[in-house]
This record gives sequence, C-alpha cells and structure tokens, in this order.
Amino acid sequence: MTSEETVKNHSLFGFKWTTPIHAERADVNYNGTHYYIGYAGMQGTGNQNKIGDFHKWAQNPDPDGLKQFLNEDQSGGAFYTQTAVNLQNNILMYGTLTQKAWFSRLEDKCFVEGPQILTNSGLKKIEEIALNNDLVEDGSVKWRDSIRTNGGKSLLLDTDNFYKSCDSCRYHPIDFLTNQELLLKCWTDSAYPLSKYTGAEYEFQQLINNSVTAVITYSRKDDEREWTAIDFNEITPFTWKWIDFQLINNDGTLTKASLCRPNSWIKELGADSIGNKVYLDMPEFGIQGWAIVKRVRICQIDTRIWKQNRNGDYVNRPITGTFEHGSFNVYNLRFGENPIPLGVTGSHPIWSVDRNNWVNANDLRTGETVKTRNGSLVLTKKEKLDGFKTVYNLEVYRDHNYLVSSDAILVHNACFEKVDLRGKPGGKKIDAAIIEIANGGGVPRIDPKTGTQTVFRGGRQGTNGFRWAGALEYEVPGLDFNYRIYKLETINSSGTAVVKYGYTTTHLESTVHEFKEILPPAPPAAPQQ
Amino acid sequence: MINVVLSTNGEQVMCCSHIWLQPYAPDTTRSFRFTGILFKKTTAFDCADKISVRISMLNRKLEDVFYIQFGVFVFDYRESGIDELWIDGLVCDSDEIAYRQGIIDVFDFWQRGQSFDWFSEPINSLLKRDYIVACSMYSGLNTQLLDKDIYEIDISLIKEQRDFFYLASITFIGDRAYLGHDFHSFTDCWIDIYRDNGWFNNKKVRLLNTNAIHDPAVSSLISEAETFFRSYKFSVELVS
Repeated sequence: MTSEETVKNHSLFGFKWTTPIHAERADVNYNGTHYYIGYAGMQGTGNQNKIGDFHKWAQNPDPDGLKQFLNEDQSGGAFYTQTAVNLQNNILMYGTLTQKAWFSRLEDKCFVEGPQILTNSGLKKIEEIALNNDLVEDGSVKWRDSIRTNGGKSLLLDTDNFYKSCDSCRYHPIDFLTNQELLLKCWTDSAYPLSKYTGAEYEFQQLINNSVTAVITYSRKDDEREWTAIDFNEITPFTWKWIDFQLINNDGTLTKASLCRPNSWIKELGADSIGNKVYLDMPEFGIQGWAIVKRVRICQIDTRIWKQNRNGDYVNRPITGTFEHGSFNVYNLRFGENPIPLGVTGSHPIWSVDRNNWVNANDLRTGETVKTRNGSLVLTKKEKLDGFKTVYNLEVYRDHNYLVSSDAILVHNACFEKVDLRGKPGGKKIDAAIIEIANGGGVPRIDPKTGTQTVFRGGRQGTNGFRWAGALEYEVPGLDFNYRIYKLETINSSGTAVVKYGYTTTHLESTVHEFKEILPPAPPAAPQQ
Repeated sequence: MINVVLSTNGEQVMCCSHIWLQPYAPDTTRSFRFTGILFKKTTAFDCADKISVRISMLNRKLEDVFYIQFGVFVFDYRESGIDELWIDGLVCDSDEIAYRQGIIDVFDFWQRGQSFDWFSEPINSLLKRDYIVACSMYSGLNTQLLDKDIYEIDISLIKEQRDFFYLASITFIGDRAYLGHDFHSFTDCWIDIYRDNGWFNNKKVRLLNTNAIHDPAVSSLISEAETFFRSYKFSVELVS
C-alpha cells in the first residue's frame, strides 16, 4: 500500500442483478492503474458478513488483503452464477460470479523497471526509453526561435500542392527540420521529396536520425517478417507525429501510451488535437478503450535515409510506441548465471529456441532455452511476484521485437501468440491478418449474392468447428482458398464476453485452431468531459 | 507424386514415395511401412530415438504441396528387402490435422496411373471423404469452368450428400477437381468462381432424374442447390 492507492467509490456497483444477490464492487486505483474488483454471494447463505468484510477491505484495499477473497472456500453451497449488466459503461458483462472476488483487466505484456534494452548507443533502461522516447535535444540540433510565416498569416502546410510546386517554393526541408512549430502544422500525407534536399539538408536529417535512440532488433527474412499495415509507410517528419495518450481501458484501468503514427492515421482517429477523446483499439498491447490526447509532438526521424547498420540478423530500428501501466501479473525470470532477474509480465512473449516460437513468459519452463543475441540461455528459475508493479513496453518499427537485459534476450514487442502451422507455410500471414482484423481491418469474405459477410456454419460434424458456428469469416491475403480466419463473439468459460479469433487451413472443413481471445472491441459511448 | 522425407536431428536420412499406416494396432504404438525408397542413409536408424516424417505431394502444376509433418519415437524398425522399411513407435509432435491414409492412397492411385471408382465405394466411405481432400490438394480451387452451355448432373447417382459435391466438381470443372466437401464449402467455392466469371446468365444447370431421390437428406440438398444455382443466375431445369 502506498499513499497513491485510493478507493474512488464502492457502491452496489453499477451492476444490476437479475436475482437477489449481495454484491459489492470496489473501484481501486493502484499507482495510477484502475481496477474494478467485485465480490458477490447469494442471499441467505451467510454471505452478508463476507460482503461486509469485502466492503471494509475496499475502503482501504491492499493486495494481501485481497487474497482472502480470492481464495474463498465455496464448500458451503454458496456457489452462485449470475449475469450482470455494467450500467456505468453500458456494456453487457456476463460473469460467472462465485463467492469470490474477481477483477478484470486486459492482459499486459511488459517489463518492470530496471531491465535494459539493447540500443544503438548501448544498454538503456526501458523506463528511460519509454519516458524519453524521441526528442533530440542535445547541442547538435537547435530549433529556430522564429517561425516563418506567410505575410503574417499562419501557415497551412497540409497541401500536397505545396510539395508539387516546391521547385519554386521558398521553403526548403531545412525550414521544416529546424522549426518545431512549422512541423506541428504540417499535416500532409506526402513527404518532401528527398530529391529536393540539398546535400546539407540530407546530412542534417542523417544527424537527427543518428541522434535518436534506436533499438537493436532481430530482423527476420522477408517471407517471415511481421510487418503490420503502417510498417509499410516510411516515417518522415512531414508525415508522422507522436501522440501522447492517457488511456482509460474498458475495464477502467489507466495507461500512458505514446504512439508515433502517420498523419493520416492520426487525423482519421481524430487524435490531432490535445484534449480530444479517441477510441484506441490495440489489443496486441492490451489496450482497448477511450483515450485522451495529452500532447501532439513532432517526429524527427526519416526512415527513407535511416541506417539500419545490419549486423547479421540484427538491425537498428526506431521506436514507434511506448507504454506505461500497471500489472499484478509479473514474474521474475533468471537466465543462466545472471544473478539479476528479468521482471516481465506473464503474457509477454519471449523466443523459445526449444519450441522455435514465441512463448509467453509464464509458460516458459525451467530448463527451457531462449534466444539471445549471442546464442542462447537456459531459464533457471521462474517466480511469480506478489503485488502490483508499474510496467513498461515498447513498440518497434517493422520488426516488432527487441533485446532485453545484459544478456540481450530476444522478446517480442508484445503481440498475440503466434500461429505455428508445423511446416505448412502461411503462419505469419495468418498472424498479420488476425491482427489486422482485431484492429478493425482485414478482408471480410463477402457473398456476392447478398453483399454481406459470410458466416461459418460449423464445418464437419464431429470436429470442434461446431463451437465456431456463427463466426464471421475473413480471408487471409496471400494464402489460398483453404485458409480462413473466424471472428466469434462469445462467452468464455469464465463467463466473460470475449471475441475469439480462430483459423482453419482446410477449407472450412474441420478443426478450427483457436488463436486468441480478447475482450470485445465495441467502444462504449464517449465519456463526458 | 508423393514425397515422404524422414529426418533425424534435422538431417534427411530417407526419401520414399509411399507410406502406409497399419490400421490394426494392439497397443498405442503404430507401425508405418515405407516403400518406393529413393534414398536412404545406410545407418539411418541405428541410434535414432526419434524420426521426423514430412509428407508432401505434387499438385497438377507440379508444385510441392505440404501435407503433414509428425514425429515418431522409434521403438523398433526392420527392413524387408531393399525397398521396404517398417518403423514401429509412438506418434508425437503431430499437427492438429490428422494423418489420413486415404489421402495417401488416392495420390498413390494417381501415381500408379490408376483411376478411382467413386461409385463402387460404399456410403460413408472414408476413402470418398479423403478423395475430395486429395482433389483439393491436387487441383486447388480451379475457378475456370468447363466451357459448356448446359451442365448436367444425374441425381439418380446421388446416394449420399458427398456424391453431389463429387458430381458437381467433375461436371463444372473436370476430373480430380474440387468443389467443396459440404454445402457451406460448396457455396464458398462459388464466391471465388463468381469473382473470375461473374453471373451465369446464359448457362443452364440440368438436374436429371429428380424423381429418383429416395433419401430425404439428399432431397433437401438438391432443393437447396437448385435455389443456390438460381441465385447465381443459372437457369435450372429439372428433368424427371
């Protein structure tokens, strides 16, 4: 417990029960991260006292005290199942509520303070990268104080025509590159052509590129790369910006996120002004919910002239996202002889040499070998940490991985578990397609007769396909007719509403391979300011 | 057409053109027979604990199509002449799809120049099921229909639903073609066919001997198919 941990309220919750039940919810804030913690029991089974205990705990919550509710004995017949409606967010929540405390939040895939990331300038602490992710503020690059204006009028630089006529234009790249305010006004989708740069301007941009922290990534071959849609865009100061968000997830938790994104992405999302509320849907980072734009910042790098400095399979890549939030799900992993443990959330993927795949940290087995930059290391100890930790993560341009700790262990920059087709090609394409779908894109399978998306009927009897009946069907770009992705909104075994993603490789025939279930993406109404 | 590769510790130790899984197994070990041996290292299995079996087939474009990969913990192996090897062991590291002997057998028919007599197979024959999968692997989904004005399907040949999809595949596309294994996958195939061909305003589907249906399930299927063909703007003629 720290002084920052507060109870915001604890009423009969925002939940409406369809049968008599004693229930209590606490809205608990630990170190800036928000949790709904609920407790329910059936009437007439002596639960009132227990509810009272929970009520007392909720007024002054601490993780240790929570354990008594998590480990409640259900032998007294107090087991209870109920469906609840969260009135506060207007979201249906189906819950198998037992006489237990429960709490909900998205999975997180992050590192606690301390681990170091291998960068182009050596090891740096992840929290330092996460908090100071971009700006070049050393003496080599100075921003001009003056802002060039057009006859005293503010400049509107979001016109492609501006660049088309830049032969006769009185503005040059250097005018933008040395002027933050000019760049902040630049919302164009096409970058100033490199062919128009002078030699000095080119060198200046290279100087900026070299001054920015880049992380060392494992860069896979073209046919295995994991690029998402925005990775196909070159980052330039004219066409990308950093946006700082404060995020309220669906479950009420708070996250600080900074994303470097193309202007078009930002404008489409409506995140181009401070104070705007936008819905961020990034399940691969455990983020879904309304976010407030706290700051709009320039992006300085230009990947068109980025030096990867390839060294074998490893290259330099810029960071395109940083995340800071909190987690109860943290493990300490010890590798080889290194006495310093790696603190990581249980669901963060680490590359297992033994399984030749990404494996969540909590699923790694003692004795399992993980990949490092210089070879491999064996996991010698794994322990779950008690309590709540502030955790950090990075998003890395294109390669979506980085090397962590002095051992340079290869970790993913947090994503879904990976599809393993065991020798059959196409797993990476399925990965990419599912992530696109989860982010609201993807290629729906459309019936030309009706113009509507096709729905899976369940496949052959005797297979698990029938559990996927009613799922929406999506195509997998680049793969043949045999491959389909299914998106099914359903209730999981815990009674929580989830969206499940699955895929089949045998033309709708038989077993559907479950890929990942995540909380439903449907946004609630925008909160009142 | 069948390419079976055995590896130990990542090194290829044998290639052959046929694999057969002995159906009878008195315990949880299984016996595989490998024949048509093209290459084998002399001491391939002397000290091997585990072998990896990878099976692929050549499709109609002579491309190598991956089928399945699995491991076998070797309990015993024995050679019978120069072209036959038996391995007994526990199947492990299996993909989530099952090994189906029928698919191998269908490709084996084809590589030996034999044809498959669909209608001599009994109702619910697993070989019929596997034949459709083999056609899918061999031909993929060919969206170019045979150039005809009228596509005729003799309903009297249909004893079970699977027969319809087989008949439709050879009627619309040709031998060894694939046009779905159930009604949902059948309709799904037509989405791709439509993309390449558009509506079929000037084409007719003629369903022959419609009075010869005795199974209610088949009757329902034919009725559904008739509606389906009309939805793609085929004209449909029912002939008793």
